[in-house]
Amino acid sequence: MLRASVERSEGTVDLRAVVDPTVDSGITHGKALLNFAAAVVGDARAQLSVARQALRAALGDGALVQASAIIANFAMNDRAANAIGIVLEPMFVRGSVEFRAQLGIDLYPSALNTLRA
Amino acid sequence: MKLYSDSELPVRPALEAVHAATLASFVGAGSWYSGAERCEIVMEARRARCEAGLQEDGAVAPHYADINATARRVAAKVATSVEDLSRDFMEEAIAQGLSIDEYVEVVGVVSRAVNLDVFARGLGLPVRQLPSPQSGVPARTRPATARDEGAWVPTVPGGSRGGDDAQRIYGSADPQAAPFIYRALSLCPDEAAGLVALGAAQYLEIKDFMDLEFTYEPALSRPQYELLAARVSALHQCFY
Repeated sequence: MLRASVERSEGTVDLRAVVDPTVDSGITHGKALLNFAAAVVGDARAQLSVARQALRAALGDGALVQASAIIANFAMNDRAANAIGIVLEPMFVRGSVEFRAQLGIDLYPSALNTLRA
Repeated sequence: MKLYSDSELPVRPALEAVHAATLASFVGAGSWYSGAERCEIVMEARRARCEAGLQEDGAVAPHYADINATARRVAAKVATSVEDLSRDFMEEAIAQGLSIDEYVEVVGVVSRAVNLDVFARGLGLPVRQLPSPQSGVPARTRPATARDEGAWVPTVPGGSRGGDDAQRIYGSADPQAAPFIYRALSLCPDEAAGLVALGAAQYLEIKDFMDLEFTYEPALSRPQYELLAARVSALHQCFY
């Protein structure tokens, strides 16, 4: 969905930024978003305060709230998906072969649920 | 009183409503656990997350109920070690006496509770306190339409194969309305319906999924939405 939404509106994205935050995603304020996401789900309290202030300065109060909602949503979904062993829909499996290999996603323990078949 | 009346940041009414409903859902009886037991599951998750440094508060609370050690272990692990959840872990919990249905309910309660706590942490707010547990008896029933769809546990299919269960959980008889993430917790229908409601209010409704310009917040573009989602899932090593 990231790649599709970028192609629709902003042109290109470097997907490596998703697994390597030193890479520039090419998305506006991508660094602030990536730092905030990692800080909210991580254990470095001092980084969280800094990342929150940076995102708020870059995109405003409403964006900070919505970003928190999206991060919370995937904190939930990822737990349900990994704990229940659900399978990725075939259309998304077919469309993601190249970048999954590039980003090492096929090596995640949870990849077995889908790729075992 | 509003759930986020202590926030200086603007929380959309729809978001506040679904979070309030989520918090309330923990204190009533579920499919297999009482309200007090569900509150204890939430507290076990919060204690584990505080111990792991993943949140700052919420660990101090009354003892709500006795739950067995395996349920506590599952709650703590799901709360803190997303990337490390495996079929072996689930099967070990089942071998130690937790039923598959109870396992799904613990996963559902913890996943949704972590959702609320992560949101509060993002805003710099303390976790929301649980209301008092309500009396009531767990339903102790499994949806008749649940079947093996490829996950580790049975799930309720979308569309006509899911019958009334699908309509109730996914809010539609259209099979497209039930991606696997929505079906994950469907062995405990209220847990699945709760996840669907949170997803619709926080991220997207299914009908907006392929509208690649849709967002709830004008200051955040859809690529920015998806960058956040992808980063969180990468940190959790979630293939789905």
